[in-house]
Amino acid sequence: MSASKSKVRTGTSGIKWFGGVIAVVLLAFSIFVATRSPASSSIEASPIVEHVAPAISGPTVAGGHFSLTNYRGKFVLVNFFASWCASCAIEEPQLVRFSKAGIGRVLAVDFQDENGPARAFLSRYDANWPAVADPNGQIAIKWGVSAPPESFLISPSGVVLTKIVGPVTAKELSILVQVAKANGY
Amino acid sequence: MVTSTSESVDLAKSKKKRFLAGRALMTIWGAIAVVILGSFIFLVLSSSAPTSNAQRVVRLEGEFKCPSCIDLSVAESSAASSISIKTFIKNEVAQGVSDAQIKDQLVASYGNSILFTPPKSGAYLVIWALPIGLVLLLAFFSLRSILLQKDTALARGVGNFEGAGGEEKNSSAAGVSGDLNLSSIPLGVEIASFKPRADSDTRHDQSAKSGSLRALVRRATSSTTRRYLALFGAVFCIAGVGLGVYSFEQSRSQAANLSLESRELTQAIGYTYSGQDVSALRLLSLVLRQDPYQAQALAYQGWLLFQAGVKTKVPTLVQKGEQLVLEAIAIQPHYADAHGFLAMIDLYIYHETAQAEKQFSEFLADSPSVTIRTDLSAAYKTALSAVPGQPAKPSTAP
Repeated sequence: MSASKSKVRTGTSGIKWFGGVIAVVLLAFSIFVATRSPASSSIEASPIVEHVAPAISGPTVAGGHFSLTNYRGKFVLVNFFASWCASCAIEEPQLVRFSKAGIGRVLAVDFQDENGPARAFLSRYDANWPAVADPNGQIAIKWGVSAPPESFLISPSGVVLTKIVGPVTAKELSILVQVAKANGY
Repeated sequence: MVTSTSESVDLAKSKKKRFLAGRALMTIWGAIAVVILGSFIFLVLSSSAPTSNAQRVVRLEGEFKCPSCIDLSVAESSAASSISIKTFIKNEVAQGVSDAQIKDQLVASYGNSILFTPPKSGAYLVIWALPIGLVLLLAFFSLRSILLQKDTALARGVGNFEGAGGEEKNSSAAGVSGDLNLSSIPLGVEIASFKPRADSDTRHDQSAKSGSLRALVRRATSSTTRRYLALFGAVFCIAGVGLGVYSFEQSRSQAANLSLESRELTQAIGYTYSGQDVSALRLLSLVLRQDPYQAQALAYQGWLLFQAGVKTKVPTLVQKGEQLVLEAIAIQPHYADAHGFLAMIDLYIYHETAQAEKQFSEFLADSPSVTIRTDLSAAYKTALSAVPGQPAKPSTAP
């Protein structure tokens, strides 16, 4: 009889113990979740930064062929744009200024667009750099592009130095290049 | 005697009721365990079942987040980036690439944020292991409780039987245990000598006498209800604590302006210390675009530009850097890092040791972080010793 009572007590303490474990786990989880920043506002660095730039090679919107490796030895701004993108239109004059200043080269990637409108877009801003066509966005995927305009500064050795989300200015780009030079790139 | 018999019947009824309630509870727990286990087995079997390419494409589309949306899968979104990923998945599946390779490729481009479910490795493993561990624990304790319940029921049945028998046998004798002379029967000895730790009925009587709120609750509720109340109470307490912690964090983050802007700033400063100056500058520009008078961003941008100017021998960058650091001090006079940067600028450019000394003292007085204190103190010592005509004096630097 005392043995069965003891078992009852063991059972009760077991339930209590289990309840305690659940309580501790839930409390720890609550604290963990409560102290995290919301996923929607967290900043995650691009995984390709500080790595060798993914390849870009293919037909241009003007009908030729171009590869990123053609620009090896120079600072390159890889700019993902589209003729349907309003922010790209705001950014384009700044890229022209950057290109004309001779600080670095620009290689555009026309994201999910048609060649005709893309050519018209580039000529409207007097943008004379090559624009590789990416009608299905498959180049953009390799670079982790979410929505244009997004740009990447590439070092002369072909390393991605930084990812720029949204429109960028010529002044910002020139400073970034100077700082990159100062850091031995 | 009549009273004691009716009490005994009541006791037996109450015990039976409790036993049935306990069994019902166990049945519910058992049902929950069966449902969870069944779902788990179904998921495992369905995921391992061979699927067509079309099914794979549909499943994979649901496993990735739309990069340009909030909380939408690629399957649910019609954004340009989602269309690209849909095409990518379709092409890769058609080429016979495995799911894991497709995932790896997308994670390599976008990072883990592209995944709708966290990866099953590293620290993320805890998230996956936790529910499984809890289910296993629950199953273990449920099984244990069911087995114990059976033992208890058996023991109670024997106890009741013995108690009733004892009563009949000893009804005429003056028993040491009152009406039920339990010590006169072998099993009764144990029952009579057993001092219950806190038998619910005994507790009920004791607490009823005390007249406390606890006693009132005990009187008004059965032990099963009390268990449920305790369970709900625990859940509410935990939820309350979670809510409290969350509110505290929210208020703290508001007070410290721990918004997206400050996270960008923190990340930029992190980049500065890890030598990723270009990424740091980019983030600092973003912060200053949102708030042109953000003292920390101004100071760090100034310091990075100053260093770049010195290295590349571009005077405009040096001047711009100094100007930004001065602006930061004007906005936030007790910002330690800015004073430290200005001390370095004074030494490098103007060889103004007295001025630098003053700035460095202010830097130390304004409680800088350990990282900047260590880094800048070492750099300051080196710079001080490099100033022409000046002896190296560590001064207040640690």
